[in-house]
Amino acid sequence: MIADNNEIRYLNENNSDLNIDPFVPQEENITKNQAIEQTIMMMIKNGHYAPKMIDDQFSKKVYDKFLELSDYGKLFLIQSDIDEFEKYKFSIDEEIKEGSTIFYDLVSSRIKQRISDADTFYKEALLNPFDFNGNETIELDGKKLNWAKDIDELKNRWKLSMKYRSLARFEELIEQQKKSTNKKDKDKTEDQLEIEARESVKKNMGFYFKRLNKISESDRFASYMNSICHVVDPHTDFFPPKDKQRFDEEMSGKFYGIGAVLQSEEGNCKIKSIVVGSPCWKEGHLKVGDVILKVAQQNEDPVEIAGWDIEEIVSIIRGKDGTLVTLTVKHLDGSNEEIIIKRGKVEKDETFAKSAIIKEGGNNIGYILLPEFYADFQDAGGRRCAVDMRNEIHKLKEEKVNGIIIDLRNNGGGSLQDVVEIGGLFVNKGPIVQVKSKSENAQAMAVRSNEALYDGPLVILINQASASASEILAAALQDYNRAIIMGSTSFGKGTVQRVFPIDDFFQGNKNLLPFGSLKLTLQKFYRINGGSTQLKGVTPDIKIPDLYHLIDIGERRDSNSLVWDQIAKAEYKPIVSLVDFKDLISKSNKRISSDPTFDLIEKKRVPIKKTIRKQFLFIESIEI
Amino acid sequence: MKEAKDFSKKLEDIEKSKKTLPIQNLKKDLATIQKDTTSVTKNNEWLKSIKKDPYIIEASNVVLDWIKAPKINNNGAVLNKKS
Repeated sequence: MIADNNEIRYLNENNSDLNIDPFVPQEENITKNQAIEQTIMMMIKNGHYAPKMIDDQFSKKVYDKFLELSDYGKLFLIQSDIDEFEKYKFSIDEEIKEGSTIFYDLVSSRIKQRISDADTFYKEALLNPFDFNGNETIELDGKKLNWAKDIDELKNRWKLSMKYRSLARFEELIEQQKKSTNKKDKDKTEDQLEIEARESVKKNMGFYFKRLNKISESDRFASYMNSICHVVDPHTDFFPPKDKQRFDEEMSGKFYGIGAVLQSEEGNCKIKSIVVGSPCWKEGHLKVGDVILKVAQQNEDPVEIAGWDIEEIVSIIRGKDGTLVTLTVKHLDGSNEEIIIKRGKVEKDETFAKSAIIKEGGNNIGYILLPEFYADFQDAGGRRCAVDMRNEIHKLKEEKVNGIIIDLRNNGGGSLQDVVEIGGLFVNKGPIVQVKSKSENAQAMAVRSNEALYDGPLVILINQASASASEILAAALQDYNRAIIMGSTSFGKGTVQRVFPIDDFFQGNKNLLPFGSLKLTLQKFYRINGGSTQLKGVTPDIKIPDLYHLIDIGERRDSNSLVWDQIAKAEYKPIVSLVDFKDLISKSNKRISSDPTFDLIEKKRVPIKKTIRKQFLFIESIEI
Repeated sequence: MKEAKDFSKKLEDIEKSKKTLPIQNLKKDLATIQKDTTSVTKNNEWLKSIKKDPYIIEASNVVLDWIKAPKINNNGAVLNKKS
């Protein structure tokens, strides 16, 4: 999800920032899972900015979250399983305190068993021909279903689900037959097509179960620990140690892609963009908007990917350098095509600051795009966005610009020190942001010198995906009255996280290591006017309609998010502007309200609110 | 689905009829941009995306208004000294 990338970090991070004693187990034969649970809970209790009470309410939330993660579609567990789990609903808090993982162990082993049961149910369901006449309905949203009351009902669910999938495939085959010019295809009867449809579904289900069976014990436990972490707050995450093989593959760079960005939309896997210079760009047939239907490896039958998770699709499109992958895609015009692409190295699209000049009526306006507040956290001498921004402004000044636009749309954050330095390019000595740790008073992070590089007209563009560091910069320039902020209300992230190796906080049997790492919410940041950007985000001076404007995204979406609050104002003097912002704002508002594009977007956003919202939750894009 | 297609079609039509931003690269960046065809294509696509972006167009309108706005007379004007 988009939200998970929104972060803010310090340069020179080190473990002493989390000044707490390590966890020392009392019992000698503590299991690995128990040790991980105990160490993480100790880190949260003593290190998290606002740890929650571990009580019955907490327990219930973890319970619901973990069951949802374990069986989202309610296709594996049955009511008697739930009845058994029920007695732990309000006692996970006790388990956490005592250091046991009974609830997890029970659910985990039950799920494993139920997956192997379901493996036979779907095969059974596909044995005999389906009768596609008559009316039946199927609920695909697990949230709207009750748990199956017994095994028979579960079997029926699988039967219905397989029928639904087969029908969808059957209709596709009928369509293909209509278009086909091949006599052999034309002559096929409906019964033959029904058989083909079922076989194709069976094959796909085979892959699906293969993947389910690959889920490791460590992955399952991680999803339990994350159920706990996300009840504490949505940005506290547990990352299990990577399994050795996957890690080695990633490090050796053995896996290569094709250079497309995939996005899942209404269950389809769509090409969102194509990386210029990449293997699929060079091949030339793959287009933005294409829907991927099938993927085939060299000398292998194609696999239909309908209903697959995007990660799973990525995992089969990736492969060794120089090998071929065949994608069957549906183009926007409805035609299908098989495209053979040779996998190769994909250079990441650059995220560095860059600028251009708008020449309008004798005026030069500089436009700077800053996709993220990057900094090389490993290498102190590495590339930093504050240095790059300074350079861009120098270059723009050489071009004699008399106004600058900084585009922070979709900028999810990054280095905190860099934001402060970038603020210092536009305002002189003074605070940019206030940071508050758990037990200390808020500290202002400030510009130390009077070396503002640029003092002319300045507009900042933000949207809902502008988060953390972006919100700090926009808020500071707004509080100083230094810039006009335009766009839509920002994401609303007002917390600072850090990632710590859990091993360092465990003092016990070293044979149990490694434990992985924990991303922990350590601090909260506040605007210099004392308000928080948490939940509220930054409200632009000029609001421009945005397609996603009414959708509940960002920090506001999650009920476990930290609350909004306020602290004292930092000491700063707003700049006394030479021009009347109110006048500029009202002129712009007039233009926006009479602009046909924004008018269309404004009218559109109400009716599509629901559909988009549903889609948005599933929209994720991954580059391969 | 059809609704979504109609919507993008309408948006496209409106945008076609609108003015585009006269945008160009910085002189100092040209050498780096022209180092190979990939980077030239990338740059052209980037400029094309800015040209038609309604949000950037309106931001540039605000900057232009700001440039042309009458200066208020006051004392504590930090912005007064030209750097």
